[in-house]
Amino acid sequence: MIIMDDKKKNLLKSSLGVIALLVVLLLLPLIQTSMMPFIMNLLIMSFIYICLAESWNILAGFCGLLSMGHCAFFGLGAYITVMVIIYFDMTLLLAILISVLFNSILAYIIGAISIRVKDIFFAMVTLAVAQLLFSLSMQWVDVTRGPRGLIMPPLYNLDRRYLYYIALAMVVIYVAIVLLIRRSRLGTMLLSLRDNEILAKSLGVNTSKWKIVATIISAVMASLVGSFYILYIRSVQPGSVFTFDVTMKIMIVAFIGGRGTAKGPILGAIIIIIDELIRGWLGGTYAGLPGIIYGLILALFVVFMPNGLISIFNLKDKSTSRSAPKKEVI
Amino acid sequence: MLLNINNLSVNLGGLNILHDINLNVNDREIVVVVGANGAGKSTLMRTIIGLNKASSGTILFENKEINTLQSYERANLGISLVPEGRMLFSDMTVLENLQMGAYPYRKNPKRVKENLEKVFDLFPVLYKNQNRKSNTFSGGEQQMISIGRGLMGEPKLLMIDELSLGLAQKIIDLLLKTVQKLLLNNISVLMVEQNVRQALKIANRAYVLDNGSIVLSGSGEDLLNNDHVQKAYMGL
Amino acid sequence: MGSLDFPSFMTILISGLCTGGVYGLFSSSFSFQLGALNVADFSFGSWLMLSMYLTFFMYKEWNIGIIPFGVILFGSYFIISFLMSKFIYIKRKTDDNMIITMGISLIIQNAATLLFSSYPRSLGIIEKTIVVGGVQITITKLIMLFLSAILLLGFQLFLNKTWTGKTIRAVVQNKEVASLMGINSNRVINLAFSLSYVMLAASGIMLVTLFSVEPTAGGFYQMMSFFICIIAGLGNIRGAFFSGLLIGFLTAILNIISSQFAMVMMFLIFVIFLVVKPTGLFTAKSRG
Repeated sequence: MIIMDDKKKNLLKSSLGVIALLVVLLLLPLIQTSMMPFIMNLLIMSFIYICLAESWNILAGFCGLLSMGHCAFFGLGAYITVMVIIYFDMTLLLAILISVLFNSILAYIIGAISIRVKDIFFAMVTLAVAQLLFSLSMQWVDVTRGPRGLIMPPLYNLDRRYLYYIALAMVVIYVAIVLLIRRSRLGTMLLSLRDNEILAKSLGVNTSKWKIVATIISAVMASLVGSFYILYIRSVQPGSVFTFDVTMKIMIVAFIGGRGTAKGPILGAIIIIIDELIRGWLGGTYAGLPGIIYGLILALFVVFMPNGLISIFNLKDKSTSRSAPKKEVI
Repeated sequence: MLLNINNLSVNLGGLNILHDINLNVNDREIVVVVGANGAGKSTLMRTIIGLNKASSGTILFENKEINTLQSYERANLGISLVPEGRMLFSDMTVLENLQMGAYPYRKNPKRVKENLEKVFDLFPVLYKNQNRKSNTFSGGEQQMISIGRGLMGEPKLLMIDELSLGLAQKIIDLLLKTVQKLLLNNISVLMVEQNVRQALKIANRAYVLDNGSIVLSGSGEDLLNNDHVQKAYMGL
Repeated sequence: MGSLDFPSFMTILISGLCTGGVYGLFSSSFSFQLGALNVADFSFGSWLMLSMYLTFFMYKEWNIGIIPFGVILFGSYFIISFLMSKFIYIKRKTDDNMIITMGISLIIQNAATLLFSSYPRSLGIIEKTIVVGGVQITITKLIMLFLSAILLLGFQLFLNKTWTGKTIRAVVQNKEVASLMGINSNRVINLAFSLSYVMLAASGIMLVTLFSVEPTAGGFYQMMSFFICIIAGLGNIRGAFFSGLLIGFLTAILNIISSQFAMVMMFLIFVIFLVVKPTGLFTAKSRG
């Protein structure tokens, strides 16, 4: 009984914190200062990367599959959304649906060819797909206009505040999805795959099938973020979505927060804010310097803090409530 | 005393595989450990050579504690393990397999050659086919290569894990005879076996391992005539 | 494509074959790391790129001879990779290693951008050519093809004939059993990893005589070596050389068909290959 009480108390405490944070984020756009657009941009960029990191986490956290080309799903979502609107004159909703469809197919193909072989295949193939899409979007000038990229028609010009709320809603939904998957049959299945694939196989679980399902879910989530991205930024170039920079940022957000956790990326998003600030400050001088720093952060975190920032909080939880049961991350 | 194991316990993945094992091997002696499948025999061998870690207890080799040493360091002290299932380097020739056994003194070609000749004396069939890939041989011949490879390391203690596994009776007899010959070269042997009767026949002393503990020990002859052993392991 | 006469076609093909030789060299080294040593090294391409840059500066600015330069380059690559293997890779799981090497790759690539700028550098060697029946053959490329073949042959001989080489093969086959022979398996793996890096450094020197280099070049070569070693079958060193030739050949043909979409077509071929024969072309020849 004592354990239950502590658990409830912890749950109450953490949900109070979440609610407080949400209220602050909900009320924030109502403040009128000249700094507001700047702050909102920072937050929206962070939201985008939180969502992408959640989607990345489904693969890395649940399946042990490292997607080294996650920008591919994201960028394809953005590109197809805008292309459908420009070339086929369809509605936004339809455009988003079609991009989701394309990403599901892509994810299925990637999963089908790489998962059954060896884990590193998945990493390599996703990386290769991202590089392929980069060169395709650069070279296929007739359709993608090459490095100049595509611009969203002015029809869908949404107010920044709406976009802010949409992004915030996406974050809430994505975190909820990851938490739900964790508690669902699918989540249990995937975790059992990750921890002991041979055992899962011997129990008759079709491991490849579930991994492919996870890949598709993850790709669809990233694709939707891409659709949001094109609504927000209003233009897309190969260099802004299909480069390894994007994937790297996704991985850094996931890693700094805590790999495979639902709440980790929220903490990890701090790096996106720092990143935007540094880039604004350097303003194009010292090209490469941020990349060096991120590379270092990535490598050092894996070596010295493999469970991310969230492990600090979990540790604190344990020390404050003595009788708390072993807390699982996620 | 060559090998002296005191109160050895081993945990693997949360499972208590061996508990409180006391076992020793003297100079010029064949010691056999018998037991059913899953009794922990292979784990015992792997722990002595250092492939598994002991969770408590000590292992002394020539009165020196070797618990903290890596397996390659233990091999260099003069312990050889002929692993279960032969485990030859399959894309290498017989000669190359044997040469790998001579790794610790590889810079002394004369010594390598002398030991090669000794092994070829023991197993003439290997001499004729020394340049054939090891995976083209029959099970018995592969076991010869594996034992030969173990002997190339000039061991003071040769451990053999399941010598007879999957082999024909004629070959088992031949191999056991060879093992007996080793005593003349001052090599002690520690064997684990499922083929209880034959192993006990050549053993100076023997232990019965059951469910991770030693339940019986004595001379080979004593155990051969022991009721419990006969019932449990020889189907009498 | 119709306007292309036979000699020019052959010229392009032979040139593709020659560059394929160098591809084969670095891919063999990658294949050795991935298939044999089981290290998933995503910083591979970036180290290759760095070696190309260093060679460029050696030739253009530093004025040290090729031999002292080679000694310094090979030595430092050997030491760096030995330390990386010893302190980082050998202790960790594959997916951690993938991320760490990715981080290292980012550091190298961006350091190159910072120090050398993203402007592509080319040695700009004036190429001597010989003409045989209208077919032009560039001497540099021909030399590179032979050089890579010789280096690989040397590596194979080393693995097959020397004690160290045999030890490496033993450890690669079964780490545990090798340790029963008194072999310090971890040290041997570190050593083998370092050797693959020396091959990598050598490939960099050769590659920069053929192509220009820019900080992002590593990604391309990384992908190429992955394709090539998959096509050959993981861990098959000799196979990787031949599929390197094949890919060089193929790239040349694809470039004739459409230089714009050569990479895209190459990727599609790779995907089809993975579906049809995921175990590789040369697996039958490798160890059983």
